[in-house]
Order: sequence, then structure tokens, then C-alpha cells
Amino acid sequence: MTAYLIRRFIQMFIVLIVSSMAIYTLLNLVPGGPFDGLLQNSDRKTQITAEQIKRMETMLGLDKPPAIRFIAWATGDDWMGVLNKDWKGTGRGVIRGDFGQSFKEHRPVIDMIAGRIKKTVILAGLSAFLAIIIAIPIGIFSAVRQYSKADYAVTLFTFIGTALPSFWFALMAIVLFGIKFQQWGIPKLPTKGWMEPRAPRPGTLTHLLGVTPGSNFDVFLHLLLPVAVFSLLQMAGWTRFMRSSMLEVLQQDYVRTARSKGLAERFVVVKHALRNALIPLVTIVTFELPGLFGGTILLEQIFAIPGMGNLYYSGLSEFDWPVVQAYLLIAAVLTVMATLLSDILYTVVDPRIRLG
Amino acid sequence: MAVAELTFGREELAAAQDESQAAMVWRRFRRHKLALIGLIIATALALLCFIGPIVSPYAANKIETGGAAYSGLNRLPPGSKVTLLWDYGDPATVHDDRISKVATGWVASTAPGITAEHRLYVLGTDDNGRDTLTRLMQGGRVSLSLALIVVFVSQILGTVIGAISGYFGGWTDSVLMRAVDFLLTLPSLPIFMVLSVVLRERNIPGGSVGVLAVVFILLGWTGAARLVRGMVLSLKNQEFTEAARAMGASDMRIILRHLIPNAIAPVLVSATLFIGAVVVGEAGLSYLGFGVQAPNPSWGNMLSNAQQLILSQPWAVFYPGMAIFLTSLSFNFMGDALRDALDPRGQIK
Repeated sequence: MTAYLIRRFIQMFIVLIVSSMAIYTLLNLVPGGPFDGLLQNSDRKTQITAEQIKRMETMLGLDKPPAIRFIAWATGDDWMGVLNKDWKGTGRGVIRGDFGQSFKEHRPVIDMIAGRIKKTVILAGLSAFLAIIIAIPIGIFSAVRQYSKADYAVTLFTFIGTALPSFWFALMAIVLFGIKFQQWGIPKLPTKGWMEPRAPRPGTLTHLLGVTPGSNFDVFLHLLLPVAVFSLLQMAGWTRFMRSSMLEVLQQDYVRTARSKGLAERFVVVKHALRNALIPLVTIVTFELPGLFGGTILLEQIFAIPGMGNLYYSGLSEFDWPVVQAYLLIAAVLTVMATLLSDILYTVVDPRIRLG
Repeated sequence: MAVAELTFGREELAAAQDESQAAMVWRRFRRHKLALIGLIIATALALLCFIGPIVSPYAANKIETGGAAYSGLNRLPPGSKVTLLWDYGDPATVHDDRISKVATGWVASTAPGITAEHRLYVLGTDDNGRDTLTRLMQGGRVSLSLALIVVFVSQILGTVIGAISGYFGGWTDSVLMRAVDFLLTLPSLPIFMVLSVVLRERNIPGGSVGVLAVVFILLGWTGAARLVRGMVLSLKNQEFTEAARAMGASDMRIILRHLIPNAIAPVLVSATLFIGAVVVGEAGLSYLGFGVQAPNPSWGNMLSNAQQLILSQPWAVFYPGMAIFLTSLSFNFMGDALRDALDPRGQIK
């Protein structure tokens, strides 16, 4: 196991280096880059000169050759005086936890991430958690009562849930719980942001409950809609998965044996079948976690939540490459970690599987 | 295949001898009611989108109402005036049975001498005064043709790569499969966004739609490649392949004539499901502004446009989203039924 883990970690490290290089190359291919907007300015007075651009490039470290820039990004440029006096800087590089300076905000990217990653993790984590704990019992129920009316209803729900575009579902939820509720005189749910920016207005749920802006309860109310939307969509796929995995297990010989021993059906399902039916679900859920992280980009945009997805969106729109790189690196790390984790979990839930 | 026939019932076997494989698949596909509904919805949507803009009296990008947002007919308060076919020029009052007259009124909408506010906009207009229904149909053309092209090209590409990888094995296989593994470690939505930014200024034919097609094809072939590789690995050592080789068939011929036709079934299923996924993916990217760019309508960018009007016209976000949802749902239904229909081990009832 130890040898296996060491080998996997080395592989992961190589994959991460390759993907960072690929991303770096890609971003360097963008024509114009961060100064594109500035160059298009045709107003004489505020038009910038080639000299000014040169100065800005030096400031942002863009004057070095691309390969050197990549090494500086990865390992820092504080040691680079050894190679070339002009290359010396103060960056400590990604391997020492420094993601560089944002082009737009001129502050360390790591500081920008720090306040946001928690929100995204809460949003995605809570949704995934809710989705799992609801999907498992529904999936079991639907499998045990295969071809019943309830089973058909569940199957239809899973079809609808997997086909629903998340952003549209979110918008419709905002229309119903925000706009329509207000029209009908029902206290409307918060549809925007992470918390109330100021004292809530009458007619809102936050006002009715007398919530103090910024309190945990306020955050909880703001999370209601996004988490409900996100978890419902995840739930659909996972319920379907749980159902088919349970159906497969219920046909196994050992389940028949358990039944023929005269065990109660309930006992057979919960003690014998469930454990094995969970194996595929565990792996697929772990495997999909990084996807959830990416999926928050759309939701954070719709619900105006200042999380990682929102940061990535604005970084990409404004050509703020250090921000984009940091996000993609974090996403790639999450993906390779999740793959490894799902492989390891496989052996935990099913001792017959050995990693070698 | 021998394995398949063993599990068939006797009647099934007799029936199977009389009908072609396509007929059998169709017969088994038809048993799924939801799939038939899906087929009908998808066909209707495609017809609507490809014929609709030709019939429509409005153009997708033409400003009709002087740049103001108009409600659709069914949103007009009672007593509002609209023009119906049988009384040109003399705006009729909206009746309770107005919905039945929508189609005829719509056609008359561009009759000369009728002012913008008396024309009929079945689903209303957007904030720029462009007819929503026409834009919806035009956007559907973009979304659907993009999805079809992407799926067609990427699945063929994936099939060929997968077949080569599985057939030749060795370092070809390692290189190609490492590439697949690598592409699969990239987080999908963020990478789609980056690629569309990178390719945006590159003069790709078809503008922003072309960019999207390239992005989806670049990352979309991996699924088919994996499926086909797996199938080919087991097929290449079976007797029929060896027989072909013994008869002197070239590698190319074995791959194209013997292996790919036998490995294609799972690709058909994943391609059907992929169509729905591309429609949703296109909409998501266009919604974020990284897909189809204005003024060209697509279901995604119409949705983001409608979101800005969410307070004054909350229903406007409904139509494009419903179109995306219906498309995705119907292809999911069809893909699922196709999986059953193509499965040689499937239960025959």
C-alpha cells in the first residue's frame, strides 16, 4: 500500500506539472493578453504608449521569456538573481504557497482566495452532503419497490433532474421564491449574495425573522436557495445510481441465501445488500466532487455569491492570469486527489480489491 | 454474436432471423414510451427551429418595437389592441379566445401600415425590441446544429482514436490513453471557459459558434475513445478478426470493416446522451458570456439576457430554459432506450 501511494503521489505530481504547463502555455497564447483593453483605447489623452506598456510588463514580470516566467511562477523568483540580475523578485512561487500578484487588484492572489474558498466549500459541501443523505434512502426504496408507482415517480424525477440545466433551474427558483413570493405577499427568500449587506427591508424573510446582517443565521438563509437547487440536481443522478446499484446487488446469490435463511427483508436490505450497493456510489461521489467545485461557477454567478467560481469568472473576463492559474491549479489538485481518494475508498469498502 | 443468441428466447431467435438488426433495434426502442415521447419532442423542436425562422414575419436580430420590451399576447391586459388576420389595419380587441387566433395574427403582423405596438409578438419581445419567438427558433438552430456537428465529429474522432489505440496497443496505446487520462483530469467547465477565451480571437470559421464547436470537439472525443478501445481490445482476438487477418486483410481494413462496426453500439448510446450534454454545455457557456456572442441568439445567451429583465419580465427566462431542458430530456430518454435496445444481453419481453 505504501509503495502504491508513493507511486501514485509521484504520478499526481507529474500530472499537475504537465497540466500547469499546459494551462500556462494556453494563457500565453491569448492574443493581446491583459493589455488588450488598454490598447484599444482610442482616446488621445488617456491612450497609453508602448513605453508605458513596457513599464507595466516589467512591473507584472511579463518581460521575461515565457519559460522563465513559468519557472518563476512555480518556484518563485527570489532566487533568480543567480541566473540573471534582472529576474530577481520577491515571489516565493506556488510550491511555497505564493500564487503571485493579481494583475488587476495588485495584491497577492492567495489573499483573494482565502476569503472565498470557504464559501465555495460550504456551498458545494453542504449540497453534496444533503444530496447523498437523501439520494441513498430514495434509491434503496425505489430499488426495493421496483416497477411500483413510487419507483416510476422516482425514475421520472431522476430523468428530469439530470436533464435540468442548473442555471435555468436556479433562475426559476429565483423567480418563484424571490419575485413571485413578493408579488403574492409572502415573505421572499434571499436570492442574492452571501449575507445581507444592510438591514433587511420589509417583505423579506430576513426582515420577518429579525435577522442581524452578517450573522450565521443570515448566511444560512442566504444559502437556502443555492443549496436546495444544487443538491436537488446532484441528488437526481446519485439516486439513479443508487437504485441501479441496489438492484444489481439484490439479485446476487448471497442476498438470496440471506433471504432463504429466513432473515427479515429489512435486515437483508440494510445489513447485506446496502453495504455492497454503496461501493459504486462512494466512488462516483468522490470522483464527482471536483466537478461540483467547477459547477459552482454558474451558481455563484446566478446567486451573486462571492466564492471561488465568481473569482475565476471575473479573473477570466479581465485577463487576470495569476487568478485564473491559481483557480485551475486548485481545481486540478482537487481532481487528482479525488481520483486517488476514490481508488483508496474502493479498497476500504470492498476488501477484495487490492491496489498494486 | 454467439453470446447474444444464447440469451434470446426461442421466438426471439426466430424473429431475429427474419429482421435486420436495425429493425430489431427499432422494435426494442419503441417499447420505451418515454423514448418515443423524446423522439417526438426532439423532432418537433428541430422542425420548429429550422422551419420557424423562414415562416416568421420577424428577423431574429431586427429591432421591431423601437427598442422597448413588449409582452406576448397572452400577457396583454384585456382590452389591448392587436391585429388579427381577418381585419387588416383595424386592430381588434383582445378576446378571451385570443390564444386560438395567435397563429393567424402572427402571420399578419408585418402587413403594411400596422404599427409596432399593434403587431403580435407571441412570446413578447426582449429589451431591445426583438421578437422572442423568432430569436428562440434561430437560437435553437444554432444550439442544435452545434450539438449535432460536435457530436458527429467528436464521436468519429474518438472512435478512430480508440480503435487505433486498442488495435495496435504498445506505445501508441500508452500515448493515446495517457492523453485521454490527462484530458479527463482537467476540470471541465473551467477548461471550457479558458479554451473559449484562448480561441476567441483566432479567426475560426463560424465566429463564436465555431470556437465553441472546436472547444467541445477538442475535449469531447475522450469518452468514445475509451469505449471503443475497450471493445476493440476484446474483439481483436476473436476468431472473425483472425480469419480476416488470415485472408490477408490490411490493418486498416480490419479496423474499419470488422472492428469499428462491432464496437459502435455503445458509441451510439453515448453520442445520443452527449447531444443533450452539448446543448446544456453550450447554454451554460453562452450564459456566462464565454459561448455564442451577441447579437447572434443562442438559448444560453438569451437566458442571460432575460435574467437582466427578471424583475420586469420574469417569464422571459422561462422559454429558452424550457427549450434547453426539453432537448436535453428528450435525448436522455432516447439514449436510455437505445442502451436497452442495443444491449445484446437485454431481456426480451
